[in-house]
Amino acid sequence: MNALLEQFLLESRDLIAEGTRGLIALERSPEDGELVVGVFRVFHTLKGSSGVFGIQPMTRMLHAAEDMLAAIRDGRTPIDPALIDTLLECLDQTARWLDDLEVRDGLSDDADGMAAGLIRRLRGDDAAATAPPDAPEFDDPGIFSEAERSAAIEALRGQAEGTSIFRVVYQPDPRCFFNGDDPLKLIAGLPGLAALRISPQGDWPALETLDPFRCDMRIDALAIGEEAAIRHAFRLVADQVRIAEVPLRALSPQLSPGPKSDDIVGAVLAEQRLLLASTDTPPGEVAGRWGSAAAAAANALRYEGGNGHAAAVAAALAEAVERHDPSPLFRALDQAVQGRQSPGTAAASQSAPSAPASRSLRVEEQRVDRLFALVGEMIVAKNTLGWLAGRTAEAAGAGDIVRPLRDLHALVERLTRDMHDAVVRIRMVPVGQVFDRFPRLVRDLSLRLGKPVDLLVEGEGTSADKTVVEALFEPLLHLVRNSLDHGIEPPEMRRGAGKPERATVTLRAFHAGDRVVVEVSDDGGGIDIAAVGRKAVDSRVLGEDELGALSEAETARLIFAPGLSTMDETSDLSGRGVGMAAVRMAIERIGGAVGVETVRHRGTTIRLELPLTLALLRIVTVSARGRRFGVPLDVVAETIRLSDDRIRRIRGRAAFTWREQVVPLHPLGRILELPEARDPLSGSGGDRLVLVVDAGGGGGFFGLEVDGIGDRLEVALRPMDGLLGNIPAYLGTTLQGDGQVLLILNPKELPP
Amino acid sequence: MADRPASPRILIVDDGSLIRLYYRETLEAAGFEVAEAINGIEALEKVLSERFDLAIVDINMPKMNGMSFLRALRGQQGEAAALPALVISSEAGERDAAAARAAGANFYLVKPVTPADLALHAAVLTGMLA
Amino acid sequence: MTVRLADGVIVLEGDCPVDEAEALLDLLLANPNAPVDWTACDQLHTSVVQVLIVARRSIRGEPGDAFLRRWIVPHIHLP
Repeated sequence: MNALLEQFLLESRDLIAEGTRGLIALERSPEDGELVVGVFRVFHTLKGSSGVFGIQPMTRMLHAAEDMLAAIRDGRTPIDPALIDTLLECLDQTARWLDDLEVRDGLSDDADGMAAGLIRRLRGDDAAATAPPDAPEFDDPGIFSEAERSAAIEALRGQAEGTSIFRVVYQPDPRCFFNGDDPLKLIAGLPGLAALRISPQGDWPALETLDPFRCDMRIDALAIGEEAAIRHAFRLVADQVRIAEVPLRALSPQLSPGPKSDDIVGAVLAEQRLLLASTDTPPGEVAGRWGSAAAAAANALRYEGGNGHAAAVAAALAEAVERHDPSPLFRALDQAVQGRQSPGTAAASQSAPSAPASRSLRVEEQRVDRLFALVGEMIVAKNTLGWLAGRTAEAAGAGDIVRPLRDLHALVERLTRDMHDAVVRIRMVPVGQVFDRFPRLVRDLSLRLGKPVDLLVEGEGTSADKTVVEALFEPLLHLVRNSLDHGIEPPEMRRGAGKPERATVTLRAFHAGDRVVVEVSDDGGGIDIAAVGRKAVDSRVLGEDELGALSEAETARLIFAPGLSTMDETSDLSGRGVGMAAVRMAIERIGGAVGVETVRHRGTTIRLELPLTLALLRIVTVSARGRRFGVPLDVVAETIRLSDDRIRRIRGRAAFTWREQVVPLHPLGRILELPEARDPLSGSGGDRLVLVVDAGGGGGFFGLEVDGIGDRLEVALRPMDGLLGNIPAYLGTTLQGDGQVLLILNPKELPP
Repeated sequence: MADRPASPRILIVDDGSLIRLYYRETLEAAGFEVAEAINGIEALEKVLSERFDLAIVDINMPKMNGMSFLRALRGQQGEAAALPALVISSEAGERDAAAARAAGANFYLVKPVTPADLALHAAVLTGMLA
Repeated sequence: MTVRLADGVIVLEGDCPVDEAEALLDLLLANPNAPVDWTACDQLHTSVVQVLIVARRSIRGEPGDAFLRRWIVPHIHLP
């Protein structure tokens, strides 16, 4: 049931977020009973839902956590930070398991171990010999084969009420023989033995080294009976035996207590009889009870086609009510049971209804993506139409057709823009989706660094395209870590400066025009702009005099320059030395911009401006060494034809003069290391096609030589994700009319 | 037990929205009409104001747990008290089944319940012909 | 003696108490190819059963005792 799994994942992830918030709040206010109840309900619901999917390790773990929270709620256990940590860890593990479930339909192989570990931590390591009966490794009867378990269940069926199946784990003391014990004799004396497994405590020794008087056995058994009787049998060796009731569910997942499931009607009838037979019903409930039993029985009989018996039961009810005596009902039931043919007729011949077709509850992501791709194709088609309209206009004698064609093109252009807009809006999600992960992160970081920090979140409802929102997480993560690591001063320093000891980091989002603005602010020490300037010069990002010409704000922006690092990047929290330049690149790649405001000793705000939706991008298609690419037009200053005689070599590199500047020449095929080598300077005789690209950052033009130039198009850019997402040379892709993917280059990142 | 309309009406009483969804999907696909209540109090209100053929009750709910709901149901005056009730619970011991019976349940199933089982039991308990 | 060697076969007879475990082990080690015959035995102490499980010797026949037949035989014949 795919829709069900999706819903489960969605809900559970929400619950995990809710639980995390609750636990963090609980840590600050341990006496708040309502918080405890809230967190309890989260675990309880997660546990219940997980049961539907048969992911037992997760259910077990959640059950243990739920028990713990119940104990807290009832005042039996105090809250301490270690416990909160463990509970948070349980939620983390649940989130990981949900990811597993989503990707591969089941939990990871170490799920049992992980669950067991967490359960031990929840219960405190002194669980040991007094492990509660449902300690996971214990009540899992997996040691017994399918056949053994079924046999046990069968044996249970004929038994009286109050009988259950018990798991016995008998680990005799190695020296028990010297005490006169004969473990197998005890086992043999169990009246309801249903399964037995003898295994060595470790491995069986070789015969030559066997000590015949040392008991090396571990005995696992399933016994049917009453708990008291079973415990009595082992009373003299109680310290070596663990006995617990086995839930029938653990033996056979689809079992319900009662007779064979393919005779549900029989089971229902038997059950109604039991219902009628109970003697301690409060008088006020009797009528309802009898009535419901009669209804259920009659319905079951009717289900089987036994209408006569069903009618008899109905009549018997009336009589029973009048006489205040259930006997008529009993008789009618008994007669019906006898009158039924042997099981396997009507009941079995009713085919079980098949599982319902999966219904979508919300728009499936794939559908939206497909729509999105379709819009892209439409846009290409629209472009072709435009070209056609243009050509038609040029051709002689086209006459009448030009005007309508042009109008049509304009209409299609408007339509596709609207469609694109509409589809993109479906993909809008609230920024809070990303913000949600930060309270926990900040808490953990704050503890690790020993700097008390509060996280404020504003405007989490602000929405943007889901790709934009998803792309925000990594940069925000880096920024927040940076704030905590370098921005926020240690508590002593803050106290000395007269600032509140608890620092504040704020995540803020709001709409400004057609942009979404996300800010990360802290009230830390601010950026030392002079140091940034010095470092920039040292790292040769710019020269001394250039630095002198910059305003303070412009100097601050240098933190985003590549090749700069003002801090020792060895702190393991600040990432792997990638820095603010990576943040800038990630943001610019989705069409956004970065900015910074800082006041020394007061704090810093990093500002991210993002497009609301993924804009349509104007590109020109080019080819190099037989491959096609798209180049965004906004960075192309001019497209020129270059004759060989204009190309010069300067320090071994090709260059040419353009608008009185000397501009390097880079062949695209070589930069991208495409196969089919063709020396660009070998003088082919023809003119070269060169796009003059503005690489930004002041005066950085270069010439991009290509083999061919194609159409100009307006396309929907899809940012790359996955492994390819980190290649600076590519902005993303778009889908062409023929279904082929076109790679869109990021020209600024191309020069070697 | 007069003639009943084509689709039996089932009331799902469970505080878990996912479970309610699961049961609803399964039962509606099998041809039942389904209503939901998130706790025993809401369930009681619905049962007293609308006609149902079966109640499916989860045992551990806040505000009024399944057992109390059942007892309250059975203690009502009038037809509603005789509403057949199927209890679905996470506990599999005989004692739990017995307790449910003592509260007035007509049948007891243990989670997780497969769609087939759920639909089948619902069909039997409401007398719905396939 | 409830454990003895007869014609190259190790025979278990009657009720074998804990002490016999050692005797059985000695016979098994001294006669590596001798099979075990337990058709005449009644009850076996756990220590004796343990030796049989570890020995993995070829075993003839079925023991007289119901418990042994139903629950121990599968453990002895396991590879």
